[in-house]
Amino acid sequence: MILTTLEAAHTLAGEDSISAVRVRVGGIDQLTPAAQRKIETIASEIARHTGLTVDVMIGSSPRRVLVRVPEIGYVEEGWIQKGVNVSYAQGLQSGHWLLLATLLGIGGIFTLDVAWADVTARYRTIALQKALGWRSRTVFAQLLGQVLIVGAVASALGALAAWVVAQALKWQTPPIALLIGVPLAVIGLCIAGSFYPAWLASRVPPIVLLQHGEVRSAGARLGMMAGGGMGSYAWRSLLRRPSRTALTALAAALASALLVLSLSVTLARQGLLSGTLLGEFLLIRIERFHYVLVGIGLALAALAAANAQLSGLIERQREIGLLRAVGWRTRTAAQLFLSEGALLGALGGVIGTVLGGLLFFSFYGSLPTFVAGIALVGIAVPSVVGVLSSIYPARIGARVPPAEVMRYE
Amino acid sequence: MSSLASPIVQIEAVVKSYANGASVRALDGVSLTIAREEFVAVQGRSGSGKTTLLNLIGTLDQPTSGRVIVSGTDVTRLTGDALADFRRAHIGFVFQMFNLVATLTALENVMLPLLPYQRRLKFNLQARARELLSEVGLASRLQHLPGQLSGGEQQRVAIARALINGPELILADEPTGNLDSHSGAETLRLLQRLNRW
Ligand SMILES: Nc1ncnc2c1ncn2[C@@H]1O[C@H](COP(=O)(O)OP(=O)(O)OP(=O)(O)O)[C@@H](O)[C@H]1O
Ligand SMILES: [Mg+2]
Repeated sequence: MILTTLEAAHTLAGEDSISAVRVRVGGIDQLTPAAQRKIETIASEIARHTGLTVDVMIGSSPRRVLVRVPEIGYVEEGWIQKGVNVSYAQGLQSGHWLLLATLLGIGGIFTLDVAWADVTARYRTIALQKALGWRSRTVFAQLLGQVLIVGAVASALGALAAWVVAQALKWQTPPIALLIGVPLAVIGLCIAGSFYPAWLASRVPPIVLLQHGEVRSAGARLGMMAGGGMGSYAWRSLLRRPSRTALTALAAALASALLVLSLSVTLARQGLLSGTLLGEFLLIRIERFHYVLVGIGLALAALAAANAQLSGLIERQREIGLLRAVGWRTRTAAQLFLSEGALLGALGGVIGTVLGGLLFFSFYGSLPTFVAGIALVGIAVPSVVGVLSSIYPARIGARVPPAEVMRYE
Repeated sequence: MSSLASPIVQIEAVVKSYANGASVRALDGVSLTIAREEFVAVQGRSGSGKTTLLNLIGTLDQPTSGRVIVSGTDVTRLTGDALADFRRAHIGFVFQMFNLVATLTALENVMLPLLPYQRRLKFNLQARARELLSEVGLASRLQHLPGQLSGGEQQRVAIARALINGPELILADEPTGNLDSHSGAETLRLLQRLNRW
């Protein structure tokens, strides 16, 4: 390290004596799209006029470093750590939309799940209605109509809640277009989500079937590889209704993908920008928001899983009665449900972690730092959420009286 | 407390009423003693309380009043897990509708009662289940799912399951009710043979 003049540098190192020139764009204290456009315009102007490579840094204030220069003493220099460029900021912006879209996706899966559970629970009633002469279309319209009403009420309440929260926190009032548009989108989502279950319902045969949820040999064969024991029993109970399980796991997978992506961005950012105060301030604000979305996604996935298990209890009353009759303790029966929840969560976690990792890779072209740790969290969190979501169904399920096994309807 | 001399089932003045809306007295002061190794059939019209009686002996339900003593233990004094442990130690069930778990193979259905408690067993659960299935003539159906078995075969899997814990008492509520007369007769012969076993 030497301190010298430009001329001396020229003599010493030749034409390549300058490796970087730092340009600071004035008048920018927040990362708004307008500011970003301004920076990009300036950057492209510089590139056009000078032919230099322009690297745009955002959110990184120079960090003070003491440099010891022989015979002069210590000189304070502002250093910028490289690597934080505009693609990162854009990643966050698009990450925003990605998160919202994913959350809406989970919401859609949730309605699908609830509508499905509803159809399952009312299977006999629907069959009876058919037997009494209801047309398939009437059944279809009835179910869709119900979901429509629920969706309309829920989204109106949601919009109202958003408005109240914004007022209370003295945020900007959301634009009226958003307050009307989002609820409409949610209603659309409800209809889309309940379309398939309603169609299923309309196809329920008028004969009241005693046993539904029939064995699918493919699923059963898949499960047989898992070997004996409780885990394999739980796994096969999940495979008994493969589409429901896949759907619920998908909700968990999306939430887990969000989690993995947010975590990766957070950790990778620290790797590149450690110690920069200004940058941290900006990111922490975004992070909280991201993690709140992740939390909502996980909560929805948990509700969907609990809902699926609860609706399954109706079909499985006799099975649980049997387990209790042959001497399973209450806790053991409950463990079966908890294992199912854990397996479902873990399944979603694995899919979501792979999905989140792939997304990160597509943004940054590399895997994040601490990949193993992030993957562990991405799988463990949904698994724990899965267990938590099955606590209530397990409590209800374990309470099925053993005499239930003797009842024949 | 259990000794070979004591009866396997002893019921004293048992009353069972179901009280939802109008109260139904399903059993009204029933007393009954069944000796060990006895083979007993309970007959009665529909709604006369046969299932109710079996539920009480099987400790699946509690009497409104009276005592139910199974294998020397007053089971009306037991609750919760103690009841579950009692059933697992002393009783085997065969049901009218077989009640096999559709997602489990024949072998696994037989293992089911002891599946979570395998580690405490002094014998190999799977080996015992195989033995029992070949005892009821299903050695070649171990990996079949219930849906791939005939009604009679399903009931024989259920009988093997009832034997897995080496019970002193087997309770069967209309075990032939869902079978044709041939399979039904075969099932009864099997149960009788097992009783002498
Ligand atoms: N859970 C219940 N709640 C209310 N009443 C019940 C309940 N279970 C049985 N009963 C009533 O108790 C009486 C005896 O029923 P139970 O099932 O023991 O008859 P059963 O002899 O087994 O008849 P079946 O031969 O038709 O099986 C019947 O009148 C029935 O209506
Ligand atoms: Mg009966």
